[in-house]
Amino acid sequence: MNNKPNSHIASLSKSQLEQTINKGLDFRVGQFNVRLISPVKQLVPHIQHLYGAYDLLANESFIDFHVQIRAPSILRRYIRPQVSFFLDGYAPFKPLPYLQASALFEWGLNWCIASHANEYLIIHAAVVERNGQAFILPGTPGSGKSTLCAALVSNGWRLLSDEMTLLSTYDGKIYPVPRPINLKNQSIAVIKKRSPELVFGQIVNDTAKGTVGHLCPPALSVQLGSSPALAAKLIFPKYKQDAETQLTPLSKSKALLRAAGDCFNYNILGVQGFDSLAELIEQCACYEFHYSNLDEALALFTELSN
Amino acid sequence: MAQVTTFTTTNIRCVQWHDDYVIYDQLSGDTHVLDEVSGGLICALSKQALSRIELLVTLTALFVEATEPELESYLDGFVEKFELLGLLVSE
Repeated sequence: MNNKPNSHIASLSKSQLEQTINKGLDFRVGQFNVRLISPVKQLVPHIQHLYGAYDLLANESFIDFHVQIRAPSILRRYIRPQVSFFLDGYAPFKPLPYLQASALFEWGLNWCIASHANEYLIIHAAVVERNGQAFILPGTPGSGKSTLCAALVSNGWRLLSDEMTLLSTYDGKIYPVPRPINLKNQSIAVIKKRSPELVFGQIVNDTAKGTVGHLCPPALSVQLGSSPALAAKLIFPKYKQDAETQLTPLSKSKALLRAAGDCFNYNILGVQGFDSLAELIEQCACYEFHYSNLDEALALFTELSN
Repeated sequence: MAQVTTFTTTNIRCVQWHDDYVIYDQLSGDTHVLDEVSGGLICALSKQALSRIELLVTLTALFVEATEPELESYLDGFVEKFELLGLLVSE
């Protein structure tokens, strides 16, 4: 299919999109060019609803990640259907039930970036921006970083990523990779209740991570996918039921140690990773943040960004 | 003539923030946070090799009220700890 310059996935009708995904949908995600090939019909509404604002690539663009989502074998197309994620024909994960195809695509694309983009120090952290200041929110699963990220983004903050902070080892800037925000379990209802107008993809139950739902990223954040940001704050969030909103300064040395532990490729990059992280910490104010009330959290973050 | 033992570090990066030093060991890939005394000594050794006497002089300046046995004891502990971590090499 010949893509018009600057056309978006939303410019394709559902049937065009289905045909294109069958042959190869080429689109841009932040700094990366992705080709998705899949006969799995369940992926079509996922891409249609959550990836509408993403740029289609011109023909013969260089592709960073050739991704396929398909049944691992002919048997698993028909009996207890399953899907596998393939990168360049290699399947790094075990197959998942067919109904989890969209979640598998999202997780697989995360893996592609986290395990290949070593021109960046990659921190397992959400990153959002307001008034030219990027806030980095590292956190292990359950820390509440994606919920906080979703709440901030639905209140006008720019989304750079809900999962991976890409810190360039060349210029020290944060490069965006805006993707659907992965919410889990109770967080889905919390965000839906706060902002009923937000668009979610299919809610998938019984995954390894529980119930998951992907929230459509703001179109403006997707359109700014090539514009890096400068980090201003490094905040380690921790959601705890009934916790008071509390922002506590964290020493830079402790922040570096904690952030190093949250990186995907700190050890791979060696001294380059240390130098990049030390420069990032130098330019950021560092905090621990405990919260249970999203309204208070939003007010505090807004104040910090003014 | 008696040979003087000198101490040095190899392949480390140091960053100082207030009283803390963060040390990155390029050989092991380990990152350490050290206090101002240990970190200060390790960073000084990363710039040039120092003899035991020179290290004691540095410590004397840091611990003005310490006695000589206290400084000797501190230095022994420092050498043992950081040789074990692979951050300190005696030659």
